Amino acid sequence: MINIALAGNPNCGKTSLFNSLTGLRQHVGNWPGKTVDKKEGKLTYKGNNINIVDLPGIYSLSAYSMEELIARDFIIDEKPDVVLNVVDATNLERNLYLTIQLIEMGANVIVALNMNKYAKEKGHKISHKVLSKLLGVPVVKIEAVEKISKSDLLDLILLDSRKKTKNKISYGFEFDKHILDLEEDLKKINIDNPKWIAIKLLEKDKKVKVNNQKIVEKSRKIRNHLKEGLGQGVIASLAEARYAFISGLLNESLEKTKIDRKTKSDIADRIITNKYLGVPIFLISMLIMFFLVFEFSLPLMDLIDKGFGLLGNYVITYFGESWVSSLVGDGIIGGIGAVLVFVPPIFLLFFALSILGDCGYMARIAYVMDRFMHRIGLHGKSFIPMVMGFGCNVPAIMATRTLESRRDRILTMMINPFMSCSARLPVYVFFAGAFFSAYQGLVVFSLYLLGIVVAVVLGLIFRKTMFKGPSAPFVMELPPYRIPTLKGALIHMWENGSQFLKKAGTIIFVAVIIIWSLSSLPLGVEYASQESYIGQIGSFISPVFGPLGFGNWQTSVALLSGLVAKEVIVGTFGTLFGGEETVIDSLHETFTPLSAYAFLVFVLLYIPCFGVIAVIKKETQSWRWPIFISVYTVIVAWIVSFIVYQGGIYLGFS
Amino acid sequence: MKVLSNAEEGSDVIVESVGCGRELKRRLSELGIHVGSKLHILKNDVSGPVIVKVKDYRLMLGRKQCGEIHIK
Repeated sequence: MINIALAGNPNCGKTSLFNSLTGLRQHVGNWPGKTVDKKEGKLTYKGNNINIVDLPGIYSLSAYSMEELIARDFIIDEKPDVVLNVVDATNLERNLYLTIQLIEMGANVIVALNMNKYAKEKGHKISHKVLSKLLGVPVVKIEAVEKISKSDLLDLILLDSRKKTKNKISYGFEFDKHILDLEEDLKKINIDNPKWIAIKLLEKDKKVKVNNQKIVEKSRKIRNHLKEGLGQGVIASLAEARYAFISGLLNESLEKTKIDRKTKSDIADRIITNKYLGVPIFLISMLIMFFLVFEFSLPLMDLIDKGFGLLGNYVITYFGESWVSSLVGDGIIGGIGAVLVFVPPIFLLFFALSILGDCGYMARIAYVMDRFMHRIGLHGKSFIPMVMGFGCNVPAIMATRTLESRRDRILTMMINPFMSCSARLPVYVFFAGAFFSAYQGLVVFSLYLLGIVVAVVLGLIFRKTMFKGPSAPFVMELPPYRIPTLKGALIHMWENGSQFLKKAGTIIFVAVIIIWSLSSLPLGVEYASQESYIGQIGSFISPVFGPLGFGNWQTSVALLSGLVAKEVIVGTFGTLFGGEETVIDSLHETFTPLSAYAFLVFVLLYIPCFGVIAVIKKETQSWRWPIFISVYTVIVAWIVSFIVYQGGIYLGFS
Repeated sequence: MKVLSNAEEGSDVIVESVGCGRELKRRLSELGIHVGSKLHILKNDVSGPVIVKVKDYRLMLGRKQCGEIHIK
């Protein structure tokens, strides 16, 4: 078995190479004890079993972020036979920084130059042979977006897995002298990879420990000596030394034929990140995205919904009315249906979001919205999960992983569920159709807007109370605009979508069974009637909603069922009010337009759904935040809904 | 002293010192922003992040961080 690790900067095309090498034989899991995805794939080539691990996209190996730590630990502990380092040829200088660090670590590196087509467009002529000689590792040109010569690359991997890379990097005379000195001492006490350890001792790396007081003391002295001589810290000087080595390399191996500094991306950015145009462009692109996602998914959702409804009814009529048939028909089939109905919008949304990310626009959204997010103590990067929240908050909560600090992550998670997800839309549409037929669009839009306003107000409150202190520094690359590939978007869609199904699916399913049991028990009651347990619970809690204008047991039951997923509320009203024909009339008897709107406000703001609660538990690895969000969203929903209803009455609405 | 947050859009500047905390300083040096590195200011509105071109790529830096990067 040959073990390969894929390493590279974010946006270097590493994932495309991984996909084209392993095809669909890949497996997404988690790194032990971490929430970062671990992707693995297998292939067989010339009788050799090859295992490929896709390391997280990183800029360096300094253990600054969790991703960097994971990549570094993997290379040290697992000692992969080959580290295939994917390098973006349009951006050699920064990409090679990681390459240098990989070679330092003693990894067996092969450099795969990617994006050569774009480098050529930019007028960059790269001699990979010279680069290879100077780095002391093989360098090959690939093109991951198109078909690569897979067999050539794999041949090289087989050949190289039997060799060992030698670190030929120079850090300038002064550093080299001291590194060599420490290296000799470390060699004497038989330490693995002495040159790397020597460098790490000089950088005072917290994760590297040497059990030899004499050497540690010596490294401390050298560090102080260097600090005095250089006038700045050793870490910064070593980083500069690496960059100096890289620019030496590039002097010999890179020729720039054009000195045109304005790239196409720079020109596009003049419009897209423009002070006045940035926000309108963002809003319009969001509008188009949601329009397309819903336009394509609504008919499919309808089909799934009707299909499962028919199947459930068929089971009940075929086996006769009994609690078994009801469990199968209403409970299990209904439960699976409740999960599967989410598949079209969520998969399509992931598809659209993956295209937004791959083409480079997502990073521009972070730029455009930074100003706005700053007011609530977050920065532009936190806006990306909020955009995703309009689709589904489960993946949105997972997307907060890209935020560096825990404070920023949790604060984002706490306000993210106020973004109206796609499951809330059917409820809005249903009620808007029944009560506000002339102003349907306006009513729905006002709810989306209200969600954002509430998120902002709560962000401001949190910033002054629970989440004091500054947000993490905002440093983010703006990748060049690129045409996304269909294959990439499809794979991304499948990965995220199936993860959602696994994580949220089980919970929704269990919750549906619980709701079914509560609606059917005690034995012999009519399904979801006032005598059933759920009806009793509904009757018990309904007085709480009296001041909001909907203090009847049916509405309480509907809200309880909405904990599973908010769109279930529509179905529950259907069941409670005896089918689709009579439900509208019954609703008109139960609600006034004002109380209907107060109800929608409550639906928007209260506990998002069990799926989101579960994913917050998983991501924060504690019960504290999921419990907190469950309690506080209900309080917020009650207060805002109260203001709407009582305020409306005061103003003379009904 | 001039800082990155008030650098003129479209100008070329050289980093003179980086005054922020240790971790961020390391991060920035690894991304190519260290004493002596050349930056081209692609975007600097009155508020919001600054976009610079450094080592042939675009980097976006928060306004607060830009106030700690001295330039000439």
